[in-house]
Amino acid sequence: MSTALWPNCLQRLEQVLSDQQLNTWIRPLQVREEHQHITLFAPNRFVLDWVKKNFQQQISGILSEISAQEDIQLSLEIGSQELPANPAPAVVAASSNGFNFSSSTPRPPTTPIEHNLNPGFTFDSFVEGKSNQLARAASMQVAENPGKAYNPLFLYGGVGLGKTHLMHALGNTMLQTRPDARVVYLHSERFVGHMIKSLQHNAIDAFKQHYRSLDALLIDDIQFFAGKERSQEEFFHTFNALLEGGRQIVLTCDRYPKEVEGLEERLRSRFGWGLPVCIEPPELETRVAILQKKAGEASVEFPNEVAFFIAKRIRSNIRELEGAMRRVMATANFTGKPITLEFAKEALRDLIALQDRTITIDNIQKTVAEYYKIRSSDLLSSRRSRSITRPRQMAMALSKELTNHSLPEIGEAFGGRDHTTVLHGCRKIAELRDSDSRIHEDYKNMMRILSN
Amino acid sequence: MQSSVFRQLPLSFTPREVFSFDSYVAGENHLAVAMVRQLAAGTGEKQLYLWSSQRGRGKSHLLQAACHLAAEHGAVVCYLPAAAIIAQAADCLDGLEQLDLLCLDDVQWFAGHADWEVALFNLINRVRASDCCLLLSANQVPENLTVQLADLRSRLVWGPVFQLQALSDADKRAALQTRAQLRGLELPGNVAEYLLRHYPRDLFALFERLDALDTAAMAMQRKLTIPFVKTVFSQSL
Repeated sequence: MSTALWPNCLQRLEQVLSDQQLNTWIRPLQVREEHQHITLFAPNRFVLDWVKKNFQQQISGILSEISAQEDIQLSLEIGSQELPANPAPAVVAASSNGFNFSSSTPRPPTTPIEHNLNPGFTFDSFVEGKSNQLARAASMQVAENPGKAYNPLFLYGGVGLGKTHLMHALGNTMLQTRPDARVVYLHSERFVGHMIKSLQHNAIDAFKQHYRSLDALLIDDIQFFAGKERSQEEFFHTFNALLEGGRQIVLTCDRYPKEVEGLEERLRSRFGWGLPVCIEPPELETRVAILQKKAGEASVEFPNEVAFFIAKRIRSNIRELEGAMRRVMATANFTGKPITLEFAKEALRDLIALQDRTITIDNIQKTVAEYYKIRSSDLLSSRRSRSITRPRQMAMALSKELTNHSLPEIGEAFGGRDHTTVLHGCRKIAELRDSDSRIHEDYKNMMRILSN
Repeated sequence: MQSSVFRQLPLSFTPREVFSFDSYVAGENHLAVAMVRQLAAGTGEKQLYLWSSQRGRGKSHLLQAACHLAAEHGAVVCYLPAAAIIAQAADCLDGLEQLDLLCLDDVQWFAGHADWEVALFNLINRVRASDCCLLLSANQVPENLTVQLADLRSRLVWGPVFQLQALSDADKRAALQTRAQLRGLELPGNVAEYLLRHYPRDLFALFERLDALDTAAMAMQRKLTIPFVKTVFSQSL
C-alpha cells in the first residue's frame, strides 16, 4: 500500500504539470509501494507507453529527491494494484466482463467459473408486452428445460429492447434450479478477446476445453463475429460440441440469423436450427409499464400522465426511456419539486424539441416512398391505384402514430385531403395489420427505421 | 513599436490552471453541474452525457473538475480528450473500466470510425459491468452524432443527457472575473463589460482575450483599464 512517498511525489507533480496532464496521464495510475520499490500500474499499454516516455524520468527524479535516496526503484506495468499485471487468459476473460463482478474484485480461488450474470435481471423484473411476450415465453421455457426446449435460442431485434435482460434472466433461472450449473454469459467481443489472448499465450486448448465444458453458453450480440473468421471457426466448433452434448446455447443479435453479413453460411444456418424469436420495439402501454416499473425500483412516484408523456415521445429503445426518466427524477431531486406533467415537460424541454424535430410528416413520406419504391409526390397525388393508396394510408397511419399533428394537419400534408380520409386510412392499416402479416411486417419495419 | 523597448519580457510561466468546480460559473447549468459533482463523488448516476454545439460552454472544464474532485477523494481517474487519441489505435480504450472515473471528452470524434465506435461500445459495456463511472461529452446530442453503430448510440443515452446552456452576460462577466482572480489579475467590472460589448462573446474567445491581456499586463507592468485593452488589441489587429 502507498505510504507518504507517492502522495508527496504527486504533490510535486501537481506543481509542475498542467491539470490536463495530471488528469490524463498521472491520475489514472495506481501505485504499490514496497520498501524501496514503487510500482505504477497503468490501465493499458497506451497510458503505460506515454508515461514511460514522457514522465518516468521526472517521476524517478522526484522520488529520489523526496526520499533522499538514490536507489528507489520505479517500475511501470499494466494492470491494477489488486490484480496481477498479466493474469492467465482465462481469468482475464472471466473477470473483465461480468455484469456483477468488478474487475478489481479478487476471484476466490475455489470458484470454478464466473457466470457474469446480473442478478437484477430476472423474468420478474422484465416488463412483458405484445412486442416481447414470445421471446419471454421462449426464454422461460429454455431456462426450465435447458438443452431440450429450443436449441439454440436465438433472440433478435433492435438495440435496447431487452435481449440482454432476457438472456440474464434465463441464466439466473437456470442457476436457481441448479446452482452448480456451468452457465456463462459473455459478450461476443469478449469471446473474441479471450480467444486472441489464448492464441497469444499458446492456451487455445484450455480455451476450447473451458467453453466446451459448459452447461449453457449465452453469447450477446453475435453480429460482432462478422468478418472475424478465426473467431467464427472456434465458435463453430464450440457450438457443435455443446449442441451435440445437449448443452444449451442462447444467442442474441440485432437481426435475423440469415441477415447477418460477414458470417459464414454454416454458422448462419446453424443459428436458425433452433428457435429464432424477434423482440419488437415495445408498444406505448409497455413503454409506460416499463417506466412505472423502473420508477418503482427507484422508489419514486411517477404519475401515469408523466409516464405516458415520456413514452409517447420516446419509442425507439428502453435505454433512452430510462435516460429520460432519470433526467426527470434528477431534476425533481435537485429542485425539490414534485413530478408533474408540466414539470416533466420543462425538464425534458430540449429532448422533446429534438424528438419533435426528428420525425416530421415529410420525413415519414420520404421513408414510406423509399420503402415501397414509389415517389414522394405519388403520396400527395390524387392517384387511387392500390400500389399508391396503400403506401399513402401507411404513411398517414405512421404520421398519426409518430407525430403530434392533428388529423386535419396530416390530411393537409397529403395533398390537401380531408381529415376523415386520414382517419379511414389509419383504420384500414390497423385492420390490415391484424389480417395481413406482410402489412404488419411493413409497418413494423418502417416504425423501426423512423424511430431509430 | 517604441513602447516595446520598455517592455519586460514576461516569464513563460502562467499560473497553473486548475479546473475545479469552484472556478466554474454554472449559470443555468446548476442541475448538470450538480449531477456531475455527484457522479464524481460516486453518489450519483453511473453515466452522464454533456453536450453543447457551441464552444466555450465549459464541457472540458466540467470533465476535468470531476476528475479533480474524484482524485481528491482518492479515486483513480482519467480524462481523455478524443481528439488527442483518435490518431492512435482504438485499443487505447482497453482496460479503462478499471478506473473509478473515466471522462471522455468530445466523443463526436469517434463517430464514423468503425474501430473506435466498436471500442467505445465495448468500453461502455465493460464500464456498465464494473464500478467505474463514465462522464461523456460531445458537440451534439447522441441522436445527432454520425455514429453508425446503433448499439453504441443507444448506450450513449443510457444515463441522463444534459445540454450545457450559454451563460448570461452577467454570468460571463463573473466567469471572466473568477478566471482573472485565479491568475492574480484584477479585472475591474467596467473592463469586463467592455470586453463583453466589443468582442466575440463566447467564453472560449473571451478567455483567450483575457489570457492575452494577462500576458501583456505582466510584460508592460500595467493594470487592466479600458485604454490598455484598446491598446493591446489595436496592436494585435
